[in-house]
Amino acid sequence: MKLNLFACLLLCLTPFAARSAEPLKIGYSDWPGWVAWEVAIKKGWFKEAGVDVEFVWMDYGKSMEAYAADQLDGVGMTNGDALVTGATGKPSTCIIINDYSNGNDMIIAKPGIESIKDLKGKTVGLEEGFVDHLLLLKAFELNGLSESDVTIKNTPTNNTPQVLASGEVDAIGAWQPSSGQALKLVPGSKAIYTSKDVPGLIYDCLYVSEKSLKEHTAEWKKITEVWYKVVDFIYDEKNLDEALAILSSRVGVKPEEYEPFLIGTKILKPAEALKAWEKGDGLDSIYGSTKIVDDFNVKYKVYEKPVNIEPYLDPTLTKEVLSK
Amino acid sequence: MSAHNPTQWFAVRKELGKGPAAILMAASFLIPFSVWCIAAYGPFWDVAYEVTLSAESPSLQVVHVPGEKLTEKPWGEFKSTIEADNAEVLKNKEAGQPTLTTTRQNKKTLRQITPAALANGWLDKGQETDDESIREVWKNLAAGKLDESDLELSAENLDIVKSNAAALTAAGTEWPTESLLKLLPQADLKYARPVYLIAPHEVALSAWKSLRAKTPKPMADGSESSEKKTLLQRYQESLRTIFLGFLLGALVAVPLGIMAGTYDFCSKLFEPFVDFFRYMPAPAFGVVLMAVFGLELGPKIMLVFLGTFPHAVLMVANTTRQLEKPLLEAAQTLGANQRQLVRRVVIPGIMPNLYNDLRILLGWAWTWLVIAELMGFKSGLTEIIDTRGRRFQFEYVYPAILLIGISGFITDQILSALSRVFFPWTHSSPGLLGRFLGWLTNGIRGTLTSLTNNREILTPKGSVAEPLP
Repeated sequence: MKLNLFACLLLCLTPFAARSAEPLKIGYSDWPGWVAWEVAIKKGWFKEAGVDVEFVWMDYGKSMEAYAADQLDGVGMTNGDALVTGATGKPSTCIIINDYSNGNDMIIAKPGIESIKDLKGKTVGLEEGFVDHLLLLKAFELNGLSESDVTIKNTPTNNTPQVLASGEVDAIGAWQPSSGQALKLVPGSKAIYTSKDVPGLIYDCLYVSEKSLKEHTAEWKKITEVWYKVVDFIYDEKNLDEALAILSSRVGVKPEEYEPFLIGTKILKPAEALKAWEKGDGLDSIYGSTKIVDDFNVKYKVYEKPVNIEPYLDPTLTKEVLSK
Repeated sequence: MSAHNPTQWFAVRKELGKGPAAILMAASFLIPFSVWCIAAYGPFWDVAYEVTLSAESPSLQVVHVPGEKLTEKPWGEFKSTIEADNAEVLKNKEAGQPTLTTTRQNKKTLRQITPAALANGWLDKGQETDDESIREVWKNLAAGKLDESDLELSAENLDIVKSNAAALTAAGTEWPTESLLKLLPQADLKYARPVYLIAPHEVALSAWKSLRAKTPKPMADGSESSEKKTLLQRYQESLRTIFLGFLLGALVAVPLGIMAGTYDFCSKLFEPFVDFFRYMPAPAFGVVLMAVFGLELGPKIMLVFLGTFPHAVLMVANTTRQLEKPLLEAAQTLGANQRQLVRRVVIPGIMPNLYNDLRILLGWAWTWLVIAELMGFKSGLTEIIDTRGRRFQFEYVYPAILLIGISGFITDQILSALSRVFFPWTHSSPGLLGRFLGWLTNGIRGTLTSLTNNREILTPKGSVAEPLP
């Protein structure tokens, strides 16, 4: 009897014992540029392309944790957060630039706070060390404030609306759909700074592990092909309603609410992506942007030493796919 | 004091009779429930505007959707922003420089009418993005051909409909390039209850809907299905997590506990560490569990396991130690050896209390459910509680929470009743359910006996069928 029970239990435990010959696992979260993968998932384009891939829906912070814990082959991250994850967890290589943030990342303040300068001496809730922290520090730099002028409360981005509503903090850093939720939840609150003020500071990409990229290059290339199929689909106005319905249902908002998100997330068309892959010093190049973020992270002690950014960026697959 | 006296509700350490006990049990549920009702339906709340017809404007930071509730001030701002937009369009038109816009923008402006069109049956579900049909609705409405029975448009909005319909007719089959006027937002008056205070009837309604929901069909082309599951499927997932975690905990803890309770050697060897280990909160191992057991079921079961088993070991050990010594002495007098002492005296002797321990352990397992299911991929009821909660859709959250409470409560009641059946000598009076079960088992036993008795008559003499005890 007892033996039987044991056997049962072992059987139940097997699903998470072995992890070989499994599909490629990619973690994606609620950022619109990554939710866009949902089009390909829903339409079965990966199967069509003959690539076995599983997209796993997670909170952004958790998805990076899972990647660092070796549970994922790839993950949607911003170029800055990839450096942070690399410095503190596991390095990765960007093979696709999905978009740059064009307003969807916001610093939202409660009523009565009109500008970044008003934040002096206040409390801000955001995910420490990650993308919107970077946005806040950049905003401070441009407005003559420093990090010591505010108190940062480490808050998972998905919880920022509730935290702002609770009155515990004076401002939050969040992206859509959380930022929109916060604006609705706290009447009179206002986005006092957005990524639109610094376009190109935040690139959102698909990062994959070096090992997986080496072992499954052909698969990753097919995934890149599928991505550009998604881009074509979304940019064709006659598909827009269908795309909005797919994307919005993933994060539980209405399609008409989602449409503005696509403006705040500049999904890069093929030509724009190739342009962003060109080396340069400015924010219009992912190399420039990543370097700037790296300097930033070191300056603000997110991590200690500058990172060699070269291995983090690999345009080969995108170039192969788009030059066809 | 005799039993015929009126019930004395407050008497030191006196049990109440069955009637009063039942009344109090009902009250213990009714009191919190009425507090909820009073809070939800009481006259404490201001008015709120529940949007029925919405509009978009670039001057607004967010898109308001039908069904959203706004308080006085934001509603006023919302309405005045849309009015200002319309005034701008009209002003430019009068000045001879009409505002130009894209076809998409005009289509979206016309789509504002869909909530009314759906409510009044002018459009069918699924036609929300069918712009040509929506266009017809506007024209027909302006011509007075449609009946507004369920959602009436305000007089101002009917004027806007007429003005837009004229522009649409003028454009022929093409879409006008001039900006159409926006419908002004309309709203129903509702109570502005706090977002987390959902009225009982709304919770019941949403629970009913969720329970009846069918499994979403997989995509026609066989592609990966969306992650949506029904409430019952999620419930099953949660049950699986709990019971596997509990089972694993029990399988490890019971033998260890019995050994520690029986042999001082094991007690000194196991208990100090277990006692130390139980103070470390199980969720603290979350990231480690994810790294070791992956993201699916593994870390969730292990968390329930870690959260329950240390306590269980100590509890079972203690239970074992409380077995009355005279029992052991008597057995030894009768010549029982060490092995027999364990198998024939200790284990049977602690059974009733061990059963009770396991019942409590199962209760603990439930308390870990939410934290466990947040590990790795969110699963089960927690996914509803977490994601819907973040979206402030509490009408979905409460049914899930209630389901957890009800399941825990009912399993515990059943187990406690079963204990009266399994171990009748430990209870003075069987409870309601216990009596029912007792009646049931007696009934079955009676039937079986009578069946075998009958057979005895039929079977030829010599081949005696043994009647059941």
